[in-house]
Amino acid sequence: MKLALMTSFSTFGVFDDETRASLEACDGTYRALRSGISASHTNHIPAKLPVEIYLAMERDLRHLARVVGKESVASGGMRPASVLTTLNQRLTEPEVVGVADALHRAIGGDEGREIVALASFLPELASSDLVGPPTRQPAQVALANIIRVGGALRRRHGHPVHVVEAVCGSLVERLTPPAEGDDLGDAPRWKVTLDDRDKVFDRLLESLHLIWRELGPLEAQAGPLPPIALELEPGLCFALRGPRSLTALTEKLAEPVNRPLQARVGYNLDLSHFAIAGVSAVEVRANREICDRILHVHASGFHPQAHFGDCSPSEDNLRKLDPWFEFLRELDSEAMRSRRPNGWPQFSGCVSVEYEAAGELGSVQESLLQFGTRVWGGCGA
Amino acid sequence: MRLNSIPDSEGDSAGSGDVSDQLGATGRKFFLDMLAWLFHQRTESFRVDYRIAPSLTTRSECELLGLSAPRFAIRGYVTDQHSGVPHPAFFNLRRLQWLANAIEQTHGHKPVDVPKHAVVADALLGDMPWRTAGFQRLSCQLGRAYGEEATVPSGTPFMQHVDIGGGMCAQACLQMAICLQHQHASIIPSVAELTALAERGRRGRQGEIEPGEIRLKGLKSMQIVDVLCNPLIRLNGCMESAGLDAEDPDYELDGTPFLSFVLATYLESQVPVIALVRLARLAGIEGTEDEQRQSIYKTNRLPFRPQASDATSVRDHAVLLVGVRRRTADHDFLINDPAMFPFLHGTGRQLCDSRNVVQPELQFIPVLPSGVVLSLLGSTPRPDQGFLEESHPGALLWMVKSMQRPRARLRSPKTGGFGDLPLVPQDWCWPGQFRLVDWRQSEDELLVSCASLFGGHTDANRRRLAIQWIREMRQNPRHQAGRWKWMQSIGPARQLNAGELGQLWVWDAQCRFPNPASSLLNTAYSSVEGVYDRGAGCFRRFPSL
Repeated sequence: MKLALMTSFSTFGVFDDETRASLEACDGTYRALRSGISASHTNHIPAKLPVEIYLAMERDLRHLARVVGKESVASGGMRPASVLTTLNQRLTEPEVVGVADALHRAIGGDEGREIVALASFLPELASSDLVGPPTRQPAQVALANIIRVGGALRRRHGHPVHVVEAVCGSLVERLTPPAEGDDLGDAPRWKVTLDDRDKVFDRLLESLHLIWRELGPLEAQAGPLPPIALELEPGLCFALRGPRSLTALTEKLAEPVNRPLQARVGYNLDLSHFAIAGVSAVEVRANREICDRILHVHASGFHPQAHFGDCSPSEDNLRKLDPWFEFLRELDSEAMRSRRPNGWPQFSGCVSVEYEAAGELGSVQESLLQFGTRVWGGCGA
Repeated sequence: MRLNSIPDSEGDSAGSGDVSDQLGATGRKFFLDMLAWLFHQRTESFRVDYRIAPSLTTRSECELLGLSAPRFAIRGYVTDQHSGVPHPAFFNLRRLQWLANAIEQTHGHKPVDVPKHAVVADALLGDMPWRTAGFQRLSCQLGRAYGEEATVPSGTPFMQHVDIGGGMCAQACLQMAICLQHQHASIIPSVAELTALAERGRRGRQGEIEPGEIRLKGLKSMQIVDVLCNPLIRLNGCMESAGLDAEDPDYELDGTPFLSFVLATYLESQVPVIALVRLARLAGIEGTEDEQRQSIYKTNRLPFRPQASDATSVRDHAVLLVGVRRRTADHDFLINDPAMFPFLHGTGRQLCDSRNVVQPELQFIPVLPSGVVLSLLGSTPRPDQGFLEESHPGALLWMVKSMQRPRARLRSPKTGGFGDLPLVPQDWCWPGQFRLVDWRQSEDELLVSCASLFGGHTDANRRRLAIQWIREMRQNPRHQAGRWKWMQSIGPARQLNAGELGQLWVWDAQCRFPNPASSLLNTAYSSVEGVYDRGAGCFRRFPSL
């Protein structure tokens, strides 16, 4: 298996000098880890620490806005800059290439650093038509643009870009501002309307269909595009957030109407999210429909009772994640790869270490060390 | 190498991405004023460093409002300028300015009513000598979860509420309290999730949310209790009330106002207490305020006070009690007020004076582990329910009084009497001290919990007595079944030697009141797990139990 680092440890984004210096420092940790692996295993392991780029950091977006001609965002006029305000119009091919080249240069692609995946955060993909300004359609355009950038990174620079990761949306249907006279005897209040989970999934799948209807024909010229890896987010108001919703979405994906998505969509197994949400390795292993859809993995330390944020893994975390690493080795085996239905995207064989908005570099390196030891356990020289 | 640091700035510097730009100038000023008050220093005396960091609260606000940003908060760290020593605390600050922009971008509504000062999304606070010296302060070991084990491994949680985030004061208090009791809770929900759970929690399907409308508002008192007892969280909240009516024969216990005695007992047992008050009374803009009876905001010399014209000031309000300092006449409490600051000081009397106008007594909710159903005062009946229901918590102090200080010795209908239990001499200090103890703790942890029961002794004697008692109890199978016990220590007012007189009562805190009421006395009797007589340097268990 491969080990990678998510660039979200720095909120300054991949175009920032501090991020680049941090990545180089992490290369040292990675090299030390890699040197402990026997030669027979290192053949498939890149010499430089691969990265997964989180494409939603404000500063990156403002930088990319310049590449795609969004001057209003680049100049700081739209705060906070989001993917929705930056990549919400269909990019021309030169713009896609421009973004891909900029990312390649930023992470040191010419020096051999691989980009294994792109990560997005677009809960608006499943948003309702009742939301004030419509956000679902711009989110579809934005995700399609990111996938095309992934394709360009593969094609032009040879980066593997196994997946583009995306979240599944929130149950929030709309937010209504307070109106005088609508609350007898109490102050007017903001109201949130929560939708039915199945309706949210339907909107999400509709978005994915639309994206791939547009992108499918491009593959003939541009080569294969990375599939979408949907991520479970722990939290009561997220649509995909626990064992029940995971089973429900998997059943929907298996419906004949969603067959066109089978080669395009799978899951990102975020180990800490699964642990917080109470989904176990045993459950996932026992459900082939889920198992065969796992495309990629994120790993971070976590608090088991809440999503405080990422941290270095504790001993307890690692103990709880051990069954998952055992499962991942199984998933990466030839037997599991060959049993996957024909045409379905394969498991990336890659674990991206995540430490969003870290306070200091040492803790990121510590996470790399801990998870690297897990990923390459048993591959000693 | 530090990561994600961002520069501070003063004044209006929108567009530069610095602290003012993201918090808003009002938010930044409020934060600095709060620090000056908290550390009792001028703002020039400390330095604040900021970085972008994850926050449970801001993430959940995005979740509830269907936003993709700003998920992260700005985390502030404070260092003393003179000594260069960092204070053991961090503050996750809401990017209020950006939140308002994001709502407008996503939902098309400009939220003009987002408070500009409710800037602390969540925080973990260690000792702050000016505010916490002498207090027994509740804390939780969540520093690591925030990636801050080096800054503040263990601290007291604090947060301010913001209406648009779906969390009002009650939800904020709930979140702080659940953090403090997280070792006994199943999950730690965020304020937004608490709102969703309270308003749309699906009955019978744990953790499922019903589709429908949520008004982003505070919770009613019984909703707070229900949320705590929700199987997804699995704690126990119990609505209790007590007053300070000097005409009441129970006005004082052990020389302390009854209300303060009860609140202090909970806090010393590591149980946080949500107090239901009225903001206008807390701030002294409603009710009587004079030299003797000052409002809590006034005695704390807060730099801000709500105005009488402010709509929020007339609302019912909730604060969380997170510490206690024993005093002779009345105890001081450490109060986390989500509408204002952490670590306010207030006496039991001041809290009672801040109660809801329609209540004769202060209503409060101790946040207990789920197994603990025997609370000190028992639940205030729900408006729509009778007093006794199957799982209704009992009242320990009622049982203590009926057995230890009856006007006429009560008789148990089951056994024929309580005559086999020892009498408590009239001149003893009664009802002594109580501690809620987790019997599954290690012996070292139990020692800490139980040693404080032997007040009046030297530290060495306290420890010796506690060890003796714990070992005596460990040998008795009667005590091994239940996890939670109320330990009560009674004795003469002044006890200096380990061998002196005293009694130790062990109550089963998991004992449920039965239905119907006729068997109350039986329950009271059976909730006594054991009584130990102390004297001549050892403990003797009354054999009849």
